[in-house]
Amino acid sequence: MAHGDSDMLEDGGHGEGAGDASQRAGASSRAGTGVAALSDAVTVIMPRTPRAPPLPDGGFVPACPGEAIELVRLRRALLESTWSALKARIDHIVRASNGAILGHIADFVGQPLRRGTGSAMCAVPAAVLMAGINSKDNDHVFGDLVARIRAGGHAVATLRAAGHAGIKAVLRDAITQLTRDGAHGADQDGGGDDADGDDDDDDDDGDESMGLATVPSVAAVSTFKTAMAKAPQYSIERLAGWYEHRCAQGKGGNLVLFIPEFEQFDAAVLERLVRICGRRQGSLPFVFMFGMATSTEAIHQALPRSAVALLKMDKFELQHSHDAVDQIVRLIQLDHEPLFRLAGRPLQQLLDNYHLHDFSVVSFVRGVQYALMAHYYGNPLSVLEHVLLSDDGDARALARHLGPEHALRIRALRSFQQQVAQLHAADPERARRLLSDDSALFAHAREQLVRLRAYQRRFRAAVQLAVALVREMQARVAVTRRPLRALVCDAMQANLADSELFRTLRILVGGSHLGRRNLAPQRMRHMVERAYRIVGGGDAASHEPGDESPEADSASPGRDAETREGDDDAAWRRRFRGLLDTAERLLGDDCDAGDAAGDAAGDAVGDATAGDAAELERYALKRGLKRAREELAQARTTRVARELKPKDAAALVGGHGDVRDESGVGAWAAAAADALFGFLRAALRPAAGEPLHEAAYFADAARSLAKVFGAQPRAVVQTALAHHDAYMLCACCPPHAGDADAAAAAIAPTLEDSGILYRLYLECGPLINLFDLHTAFAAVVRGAGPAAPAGGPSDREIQARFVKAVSELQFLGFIKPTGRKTDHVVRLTWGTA
Amino acid sequence: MGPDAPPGDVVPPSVLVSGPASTGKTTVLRHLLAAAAVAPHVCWIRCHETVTPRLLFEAVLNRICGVRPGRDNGFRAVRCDAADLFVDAVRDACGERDAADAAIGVDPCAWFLVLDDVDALLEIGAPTLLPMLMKLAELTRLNLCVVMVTRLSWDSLAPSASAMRPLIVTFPVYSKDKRTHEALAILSRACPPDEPRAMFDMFARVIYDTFSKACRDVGELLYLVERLFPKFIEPAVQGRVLRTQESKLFALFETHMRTALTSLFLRDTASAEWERKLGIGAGALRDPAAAPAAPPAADATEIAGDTERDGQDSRDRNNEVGGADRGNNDEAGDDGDDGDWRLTTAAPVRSAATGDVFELPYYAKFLLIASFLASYNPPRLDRRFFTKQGEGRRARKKAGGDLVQENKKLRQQLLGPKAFPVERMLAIFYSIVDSDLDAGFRVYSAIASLISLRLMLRVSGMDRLDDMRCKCNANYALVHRVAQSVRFDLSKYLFDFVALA
Repeated sequence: MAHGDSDMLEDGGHGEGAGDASQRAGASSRAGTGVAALSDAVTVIMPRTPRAPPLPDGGFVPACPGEAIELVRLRRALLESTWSALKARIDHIVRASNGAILGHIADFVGQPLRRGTGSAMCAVPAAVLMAGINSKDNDHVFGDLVARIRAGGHAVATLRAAGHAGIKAVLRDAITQLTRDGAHGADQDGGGDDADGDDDDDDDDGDESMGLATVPSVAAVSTFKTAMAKAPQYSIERLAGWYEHRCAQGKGGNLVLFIPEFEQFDAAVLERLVRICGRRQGSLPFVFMFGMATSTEAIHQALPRSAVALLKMDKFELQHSHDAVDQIVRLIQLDHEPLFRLAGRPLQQLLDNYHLHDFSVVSFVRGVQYALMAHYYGNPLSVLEHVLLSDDGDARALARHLGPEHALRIRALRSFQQQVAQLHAADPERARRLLSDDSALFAHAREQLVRLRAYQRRFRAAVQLAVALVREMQARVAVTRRPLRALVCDAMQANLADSELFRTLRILVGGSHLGRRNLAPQRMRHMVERAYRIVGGGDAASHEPGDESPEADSASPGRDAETREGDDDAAWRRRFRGLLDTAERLLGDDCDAGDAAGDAAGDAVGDATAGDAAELERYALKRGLKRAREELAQARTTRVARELKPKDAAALVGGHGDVRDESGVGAWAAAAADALFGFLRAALRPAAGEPLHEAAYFADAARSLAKVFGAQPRAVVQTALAHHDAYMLCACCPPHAGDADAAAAAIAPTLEDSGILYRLYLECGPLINLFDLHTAFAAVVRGAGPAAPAGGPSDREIQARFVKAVSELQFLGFIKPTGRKTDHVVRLTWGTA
Repeated sequence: MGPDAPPGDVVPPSVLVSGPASTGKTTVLRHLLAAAAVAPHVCWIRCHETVTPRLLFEAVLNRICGVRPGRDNGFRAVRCDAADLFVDAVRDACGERDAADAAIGVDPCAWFLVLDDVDALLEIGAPTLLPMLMKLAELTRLNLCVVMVTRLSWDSLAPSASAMRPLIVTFPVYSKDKRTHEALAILSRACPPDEPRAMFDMFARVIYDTFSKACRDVGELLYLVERLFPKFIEPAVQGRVLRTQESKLFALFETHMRTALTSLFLRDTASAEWERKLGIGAGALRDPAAAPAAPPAADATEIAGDTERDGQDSRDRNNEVGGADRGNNDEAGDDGDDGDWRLTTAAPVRSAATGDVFELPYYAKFLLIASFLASYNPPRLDRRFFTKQGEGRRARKKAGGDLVQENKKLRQQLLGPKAFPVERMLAIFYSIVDSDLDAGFRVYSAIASLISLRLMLRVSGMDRLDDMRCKCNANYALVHRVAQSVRFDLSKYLFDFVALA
């Protein structure tokens, strides 16, 4: 279709060609397939270029002068291996998330249906899949589903909205798919029949003479003079015959008609299809599957009541794309083993695009892929991780290719410069060595990358703990509605511990300097246990065997940094362990006893049941949340406001903030809260402060994501028209010095006609007199002034060129004809003033 | 043409059987024609299937010749794609069959061509088809009767004023006569065999009395009875209430009935789902092993057979199993990592009628709101709503006041959406979106996807690329909820609301 359109335009000029093509588009898909039309339009704009020969090394070139070709190739290899691993995991996320529901749908669709001649009351089962608005996203999920249903011995026909002009086309498509499906799914001898079934497709349009397809009649009707031929492919009789045969072979199964884009499907055609299937339900077990983007209201909009009455619908909600994006963000930013991460801004940008524009997982993943590509393509330091950290001998061997250009790049990093500046005060000798000695620098870089890896691990642990904390609170009060992806994105940009959410949580949980608490000690203990496990203690599986015993010091100097980080972890672990030991002493083992003793209101109602206690706790938390928010609000207000209301606030805060027990539980809880939030604050520092993070974090300094995924066609067209020279690179036109000059500069006659006209157009008012424009155009083309060359273009040629240029401008949407004044056109861009 | 008439009697050339839905037209006809000795001479055509005249012709001839396209004959069938050939072929085929019958000493018999849902033939674009079929007896000179079954009346079906009027048989709606009460009699046939008939009849009567104000369709009522009875009897099955404590049963049942009333005709919650939620299906109520005795088949309007119920049972059981799976899988969905990463997030927008999640990207939501405003606000008031200085002008306010007076009878909400140029909608969009937006082409692709979701309708033809006109196809309730989810006060910008306030 798209191809046809562009052909049409190329040889047919603009006006009629475009109209005709889009009329055909309109005729073929009445159901408003705006998206398809849009992509057609894009095809029209695109020039047709010959396919370029494949570039050596996949187009990878040295990213800085002097980079060794081995490293260029390494970057490409790294990109390919990283992406393929990542892609496999993303695919797994998307598929696994819908696995369970797909099983239900397949069960529903495959349920045995009643057969035999029958009553009219028998309804067609219809599985309504609530799939979200991005049908493209669901393509592979639907593919899995169809494969699964086929594996159950049922025949499936997928009916797309596009390309079905009427019920006849839909029936033909459906029956062809169903019979073919059964052929290669079940019986082998059906292949031959299938082939001539396709032949039949071509000749049943009815314009050929009867004799061509007529064969001698078979025995049963030999007495009649009626012609016999193959039943048309769209005849349901044929399907019935096929199904009978299938049943005779003992296969049976249901006939599933899958309509993935319900909203776009022609309602009248669908109604007829439902009626046909409903009437045949007795002999042919049809099952519908509708992929819905909006809601089941669309079914009632599309089908009349009598058709709906033939359906027996059941709703299945596929997993929302939000969950998939959450998991993908988690995978890339937290779980991914290579150091590569998206920095805060590109991630924010991708998420913004997802939230604001399309809700499309596919385009989100495409953005990630682009970021990965840009990182390995444009950043020569992207090899550092592999070359310096890998235990592989080959990779180590590549380290010798690191040269002065890499050292230069590292020294130019802002994070490195900051580090050196700090080092300069503490250890000037080392700082000098780093700046002058390349091998020392690379050793240092390796150390920093090891630290970066440890940092990422701790960051992940901290996010996990933060999520656990938020979940713990969410179970009782609504502290936030931020999803995981937003939390991660926030954490990439600023320390999450400073965010309003965590300040609220901090106040809510309480701590030593706040002197009250809202979380029962038992819960606090639970949180500390989790933190302890997350940090790597206890029985939880830790990330690396070496992490298990940081005290067992590794002799190799390269491990230095890691052990230092490990020490850090170990310190936290010891602190949590200590808290847990204390908790055991204070609270004992019995959970209920601890709860009762620790509950702020537990003493007041000694005999309160557990339910009441939970209720009270929830109430206390709610109150606490309100107070915490007030407190934060107060901290934000002006000094006047603070001074006006300190007493009230104090009363409010102090009234219920009871540090009731001096037995140590309160003190312990406060210490635990301090430890938890201390850990969060330490581990959640954003990566921008880490030395050498630029080697692993894609910061998108050139803002290429926005440019690549946010095309600006209008800007491109305007630039092309106003700065012809940049595109044509011809010698005859004077290059533009700048925008200010461009307006003042005379228009060169050698410019492209549409360019000349556009420049003239810029000087016009809202209504353009075409004759004036023509005069101006002729003047430019002839060359201004009395010194015009004698052998210039003729008037007729100028007029023809003028007409062509005007229609080009019209086609590009700059002007349009008007009935207000004869020989005038309306200017459509740059305002009307 | 009753069952007792000799099969060779002369029959009228065309009969029209008309009546509302679910009044037993097809069922009566089937029994009538199956009972008589004419059964082999009946061609039963479902007109929805014959999407081209050729299919109709071939279907008729296949029935007459006894040909069925199948694997054994290589999917071959009679070929005929023109009306004149069809008439000849019918005459030849029927003549030969009659001759064959006569040869073995069978009495000649009339032919019956039944066109079920004949109104579907009006849509296949062959205006002469129906008149031709009605005159088929005359054209073929056979003893042939074309029986047309339809829900339409003859006046709306008649090809032209001069068309020959067929013999018309009208099926009335089931009577509400206290003594016979046909509808109730049909409903009570759905009674499960092991439930007391009297109680079921009472249940059916309650359902009928409640729903018949809104719905006279026996099919729909039967659907309701079948779906709701398990709910009604549930307390008794669980042993909480005795079957004799009817008032108690009805009191417990009342909420279910109210839900069913609101979703009447929607069929959106299928039986399977109801029963999965209940955890108890019709299958659990009845022992499928105890094969139900077939109800007396004297009544020709029998609608629901027992075979169907058996099928229903197995379906229900399947769904129960599915329901159990679902619970397990939800738990298994948590990842193996030590901890669940899922957070409670903002609840998505749900559609009021169906409860479906209805999520749109942020700007698409605003586009939808903008299209709604463009459809329901008069264009001349745009300045007042969407510019900063518009509100201050006295003169404009006065004009607005007049408008209220003249529009009081005709609120735009009641008139339906108006078409608007897309540029106007975009202008509104940019004025209501709070942020400084440079979305570029993405806005257009969002418009395209809104159109493909049928939330907006494209009014202008596909050839008008540069001035597209659209209509908003979303209702107020939906747009209102969408607006709430982005904290946009729709009522402030909607002329109907502002003017009437």
